[in-house]
Amino acid sequence: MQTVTNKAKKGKIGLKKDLVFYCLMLIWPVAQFCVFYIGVNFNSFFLAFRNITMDIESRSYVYTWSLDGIKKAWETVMSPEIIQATKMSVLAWILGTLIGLPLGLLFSHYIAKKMPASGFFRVILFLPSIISAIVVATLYMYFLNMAVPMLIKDTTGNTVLSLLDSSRPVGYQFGALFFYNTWVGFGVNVLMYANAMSGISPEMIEAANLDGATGFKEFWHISLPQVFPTLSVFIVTGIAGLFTNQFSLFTFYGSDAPFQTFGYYLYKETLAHSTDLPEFPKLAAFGLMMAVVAIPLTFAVRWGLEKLGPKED
Amino acid sequence: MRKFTKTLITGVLAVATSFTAVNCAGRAGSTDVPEENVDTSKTQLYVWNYNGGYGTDWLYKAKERFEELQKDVVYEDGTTGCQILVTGEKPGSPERSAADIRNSKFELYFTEGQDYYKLFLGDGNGDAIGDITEAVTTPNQFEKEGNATVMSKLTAQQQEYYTIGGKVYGIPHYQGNFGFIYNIDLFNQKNLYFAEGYESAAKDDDKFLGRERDKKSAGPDGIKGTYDDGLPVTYADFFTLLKYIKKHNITPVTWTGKYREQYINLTFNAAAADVDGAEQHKLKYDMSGTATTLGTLDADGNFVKDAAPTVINDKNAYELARQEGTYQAIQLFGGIFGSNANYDDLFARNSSDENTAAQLRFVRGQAAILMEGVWWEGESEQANNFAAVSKKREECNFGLMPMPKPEGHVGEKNTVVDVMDALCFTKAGLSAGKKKLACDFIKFVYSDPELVAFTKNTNALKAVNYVISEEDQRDLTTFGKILYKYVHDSDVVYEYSTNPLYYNNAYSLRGRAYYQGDVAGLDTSGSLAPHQYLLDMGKTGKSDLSAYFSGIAAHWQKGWDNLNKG
Repeated sequence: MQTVTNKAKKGKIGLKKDLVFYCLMLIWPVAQFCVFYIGVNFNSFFLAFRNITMDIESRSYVYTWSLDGIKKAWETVMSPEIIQATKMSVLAWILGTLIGLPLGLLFSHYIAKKMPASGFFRVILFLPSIISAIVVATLYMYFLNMAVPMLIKDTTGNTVLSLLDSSRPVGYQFGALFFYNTWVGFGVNVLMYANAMSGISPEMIEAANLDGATGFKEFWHISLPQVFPTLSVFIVTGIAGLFTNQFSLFTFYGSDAPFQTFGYYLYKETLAHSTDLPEFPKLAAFGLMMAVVAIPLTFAVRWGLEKLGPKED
Repeated sequence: MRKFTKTLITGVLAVATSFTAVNCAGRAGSTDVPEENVDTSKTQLYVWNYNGGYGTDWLYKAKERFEELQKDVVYEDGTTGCQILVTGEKPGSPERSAADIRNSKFELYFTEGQDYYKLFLGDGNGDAIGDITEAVTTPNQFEKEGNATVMSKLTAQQQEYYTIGGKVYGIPHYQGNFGFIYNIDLFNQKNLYFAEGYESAAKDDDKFLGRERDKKSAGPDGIKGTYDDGLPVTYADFFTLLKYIKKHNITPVTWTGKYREQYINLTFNAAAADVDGAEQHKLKYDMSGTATTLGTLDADGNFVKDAAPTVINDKNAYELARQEGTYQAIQLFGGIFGSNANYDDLFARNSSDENTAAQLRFVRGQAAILMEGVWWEGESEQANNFAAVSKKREECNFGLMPMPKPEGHVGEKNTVVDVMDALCFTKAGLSAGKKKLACDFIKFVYSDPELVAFTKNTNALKAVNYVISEEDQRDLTTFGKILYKYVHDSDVVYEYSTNPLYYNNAYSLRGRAYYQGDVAGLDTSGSLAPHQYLLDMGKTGKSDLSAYFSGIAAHWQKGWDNLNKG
């Protein structure tokens, strides 16, 4: 009896210790979440309805409530610059989803099936995610800007402009950057999907094979439904990417890109005005407008995926 | 074998990852820690200096002279003399934020690209910069002759801007402008100078020095025997020169493809200011005064000045987009970019073409003219570019070409636009002893002998008035001598103003931003800057110079209501 009581006491003490441990572990991330997510977003929300001007004589900024930020952001949204950014953002997202995603799934299937050189592909495809983005981007940029044109000039005597040259039609630069983004983003996608696929029961695959399922049928009817929860998370979170993805434009062009996306526009403007308080309300209002579109869109896509997504047979 | 392969791959990946880590450390590693040991028997002053094109050597030299001069002065109880501790690192950014300053041990700053008013206001978390009125307005004991105040060396525009409520919190540091830089050795070697008495109707080749034409023309200043002899006077001359250079299989003009936005647009602004003159160009920042150079285009696309001047105020300052300078700068840059024979297509828009790479092409003589900022020599020296021609910096001969003038403006005084926003200031809240030391050091580096020493060390100019004797000029590089003469003989405009409309919208109203144009019917969108419209479109033959001028006026008229008016 005494032993049981001691065990119960020990259990309670252990539980308390665990609780203290978990609380201590969570304090820092929760505090970070409160400050850098909740606090920042609240601040940004209210900032959208402020007007800030510099008052040099009183050495202070003058804050007033105003819809000027919303008005300016709306005019920006309706400007040709942002209309083009909308097109480019949507195009980048659609192509990324239609090309990048299926390719990622196919490669993952290949790796999960442990086909020849699958380990090699896993490492090579994940390499751009390990190496600094700046290093990879610089290599790619020099390859397109210097190596290819100079090689052509040395061998043929003709000057051929880089695919990234701003005097070329936008399609060239978009294509070059789309390839880069797909390549660089491949690693994470492949790792996630391949891991999800490797969890599929071998008995299920064996049974399908015995039933005469081909490789494609196996992928379509078994692998895809099994990884669909992972896939749908990628697609749903990708909706936010539609508004935040800067498409590596800043890495390649700095603040002088030949076309823009939402993410690039916001990043560039925020950077340019990092110490420019009077410009903050317009940018905050711009972000708020994007949130107004992004939130229902995200829910709609999630609902659609749940309704229309493949079901495990 | 399998284990070995795994170990090898792990090792390779670890190294690859460490590159990333090193890269991160490199960016964040500019901790600005002075390397010199602290001497506790003296009062220390920690000085932060942007180690860009003008370097930090000038400051190390000044510090030695100052420490020696003040070795017996007591700034704080228990110490005698002073120790100036200088940062010798190059951070990622030349300016400092209010938070940077508050959180740093540095007490005196020499920065660049710094918005004085924004720094003065800070970020709402306490004052960042301190009052240095004493250093600027009291007689300067470090002057060898007289005891003029530092303030007396500032122009009227500078004095008005830097004085806030009767106090001064910062003063201009160095000066820098954009322009066309030419390779004198190459010009001499290839006889790329206009000959004396050349006629505009003559064949292009007959206008330049040759066997029968051995004397240079008088150049833009019209006086023989000066540094600008043989250089182009008008835009037409300039274009003729470019064609002539091309005949020698040399690229006429080069610039950095990577930073072309800044370099092209700011040189464009310099050309526009040079046509309008300082007083009219300054209206862009003051937004108050009478504009006399506004105009419109006639049916043939020619500029026709308005019959009457226009009074400019906050409500109609967008009219300044119609200044003649803008029109003429479009003609100049439209002419340069209109033919890709004038530049190397491979680099013109190449985002991998660094500024030092463009400088190297120029130093090597692959290009005759460099579109650059006047700090370029220092950058090239740091990049070892002069070693490529087996010379030292001081053995090379480069010059700043006077900005060519359009017809009707020949002989007018040159105007230079300072784009640096370089600032000297102290941290707020210094102790009395430290503040006295900081003020003394400011006075010292702004005394005439030290201003001259700065120029002799950097071959650059401080953004204050001072005179360099002929004897001292001999110690400058050829480029430094020409730069001094050119700027000294020009009117200088600074891109700032005390007008609240301007400083609340400085980013949108800076010189470079003033040339954004809305041109209808293009397959691109948004407003375009000169480097986009004139260079990108010029190449494809789509640029319409008249449409661009009208587009700039339209853009400003449309966007004026969007400015922050308080």
